[in-house]
Amino acid sequence: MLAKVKLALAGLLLLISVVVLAPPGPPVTHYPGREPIYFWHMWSGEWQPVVEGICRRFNESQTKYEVIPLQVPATGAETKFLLSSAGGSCPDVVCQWNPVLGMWSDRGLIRPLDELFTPQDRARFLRECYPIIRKNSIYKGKIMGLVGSVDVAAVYYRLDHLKEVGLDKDHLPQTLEDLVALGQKLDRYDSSGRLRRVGFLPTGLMAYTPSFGGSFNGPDGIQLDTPEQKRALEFIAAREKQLGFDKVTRFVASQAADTGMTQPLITGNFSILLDGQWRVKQTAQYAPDLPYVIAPLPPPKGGKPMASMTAANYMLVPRAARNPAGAMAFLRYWCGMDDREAGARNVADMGWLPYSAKVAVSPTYLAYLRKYPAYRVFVDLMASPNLQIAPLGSLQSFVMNEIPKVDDAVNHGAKTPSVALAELKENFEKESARQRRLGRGQ
Amino acid sequence: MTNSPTKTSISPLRRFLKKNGTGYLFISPWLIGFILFMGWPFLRSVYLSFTTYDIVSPPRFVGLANYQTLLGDDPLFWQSLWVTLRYAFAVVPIGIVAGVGLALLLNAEVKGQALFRTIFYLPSIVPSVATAVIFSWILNPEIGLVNGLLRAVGFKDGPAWLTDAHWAPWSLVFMSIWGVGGSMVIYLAGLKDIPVYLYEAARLDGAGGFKALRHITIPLLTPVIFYNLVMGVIGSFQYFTEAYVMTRGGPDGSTTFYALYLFQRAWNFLDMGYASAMAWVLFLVVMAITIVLFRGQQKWVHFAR
Repeated sequence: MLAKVKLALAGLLLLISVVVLAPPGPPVTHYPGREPIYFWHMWSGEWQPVVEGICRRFNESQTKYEVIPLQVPATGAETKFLLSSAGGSCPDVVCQWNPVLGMWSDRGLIRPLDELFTPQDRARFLRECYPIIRKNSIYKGKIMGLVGSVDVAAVYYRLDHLKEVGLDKDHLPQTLEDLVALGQKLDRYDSSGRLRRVGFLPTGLMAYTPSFGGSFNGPDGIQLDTPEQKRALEFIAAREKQLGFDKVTRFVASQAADTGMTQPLITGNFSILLDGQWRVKQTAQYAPDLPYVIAPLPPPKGGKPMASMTAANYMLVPRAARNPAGAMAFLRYWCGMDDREAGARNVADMGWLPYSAKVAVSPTYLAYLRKYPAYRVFVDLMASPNLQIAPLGSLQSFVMNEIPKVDDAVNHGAKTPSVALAELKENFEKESARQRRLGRGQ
Repeated sequence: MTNSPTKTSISPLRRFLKKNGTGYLFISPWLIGFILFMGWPFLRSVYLSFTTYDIVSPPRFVGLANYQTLLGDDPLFWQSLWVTLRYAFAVVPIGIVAGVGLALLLNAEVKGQALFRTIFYLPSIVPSVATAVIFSWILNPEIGLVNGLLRAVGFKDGPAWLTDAHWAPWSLVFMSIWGVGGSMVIYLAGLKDIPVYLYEAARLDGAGGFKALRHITIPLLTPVIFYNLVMGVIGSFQYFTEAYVMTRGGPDGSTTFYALYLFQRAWNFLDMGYASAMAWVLFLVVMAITIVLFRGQQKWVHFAR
């Protein structure tokens, strides 16, 4: 019996020794005495040090706060934030690029920034920011998040491929129909009939709806199965059918990872791509001599020019944040509201588009544009009234989960655009009805 | 003769603790963990299934609304249940046949037996996410290993395994064979447990290899087969990782497994009450199947030696 007790005590002593003697982790704070601002973001890899650099510059720029960044893997970021909110220990600032503004606002997860702005600053922010930033930031009349930047899409053309058909950067297609016709000329097959290069492959209902003059948000909330959406989806389906559903599926599946040297613009597997502004910096890094040109997506007949779907990087202040004032100070610095040079450096470092024309014309950002002139197209797009935002509302996650199913069914020829869109709308209405039955409004 | 006063004054609880206290103390870390992290959430989820709950606001009681919607007004619930049932019906028998077959082969006294056992067991300890990523490439329709082999033997184009709604669920079934090493080890242990004298007696009676397999090996292995059958059914109904990583439920909902749909409801749509109801329906389905299996086992499982 005594031996057993001795053994148990020895085990306990060992456990305590491990706990007590284990080396402490690296310090998370570098400015003792300052108010901490805990910031959760999802940028990993090459972007993480850039984000940490912005945080460091903020810390150096003042003496009251210290931002402590924490990288949270993108796949689990939403879950972690929800759990932290439920547990009452959430960050002061959280960045999220999935469209969650409506859902998180309705659930009371995030704080309206109107509460943290002075009325003058609120008015200034709304006056200074691009219209698309305003659209992305506001939900039910309140500024629910500062959108430091949005992703905008334009068309990348491989000039060496255009040369094959006698075109150059001064003779780009002026309509979407011309773009498809050009793409068709640039398709290449191998001897067994497999696609080896695709001239132009439109994919994604959300990406093409704005060009057809459509939107996912109407005066009464999310709108689906509109005539514009139908035309956009029919356009996508027609091109897929032209190439052959199965051939496209196989070709797309054979593409390497969409990063670094293997991104499709560099590999040349596509001649024309509708893609975001981040490709410019990436291409400059991995293939600086690549011959390409960027232009806005040409509109279809009767459609809208300078149109694009946008994706926002929302900077949000949780309802349970312990330091909302500090969070707001950091968000203002992040965007460049009070210091446009600092804001310009932040967005330039991240390869982003600025939130306002004020930052876009700052010397720092102009220097960036001189270094990457291709960015100019995207900066010009930012002022366009034809940019659209993702579905916004309580059920936006549900809709964002359903839209890829529509794309999937149409891309494989499993459903016609009309049927797929009608089903999407029906599913959404059913879900809305169910939510109402459970006492949650849509 | 009378009872001693000390003996009668000890309460049953104290007597129990005196007798078992040390044991419970030793298992207390597990016991506390189980009660806190399994038992309480398990019971709590019963209540949550009758509420609307988004983990941020307090749950609000809605009676049977979640269950009514689930059973009467949610086609995806039925579709995901069907996808899961079909998977279970395919994977469990294949897993048993492959596992028993492999165990029989690896039970043979051959050179390098330990090496072969290790090789076949290794895949089952590879993390399922890593396996899923590797298989995404193996099953790639253009540059994948499987279609490359099919091309080498004369097929022009193999199936688009993961992107064709007809093939995608069966691709995951095919992939499940990769992890059969886990059950194989249990079958091997079961085979080692069969007394050698039974085979010797059978041989003396003139039984060949097949007869010995049919009348000795398989019957005496049935308890192990039954164990793997029950565990396989439970595991199949919880199938999630591979579908989440490889297909995200597509194409066209063909791999929207029950657990995947439940996860979406809980974490993507913040519908914890509904997800709890789904979890309880799943529990009841699995429980019902397990009861049926336990009832049926009396007819084919041989526990006696």
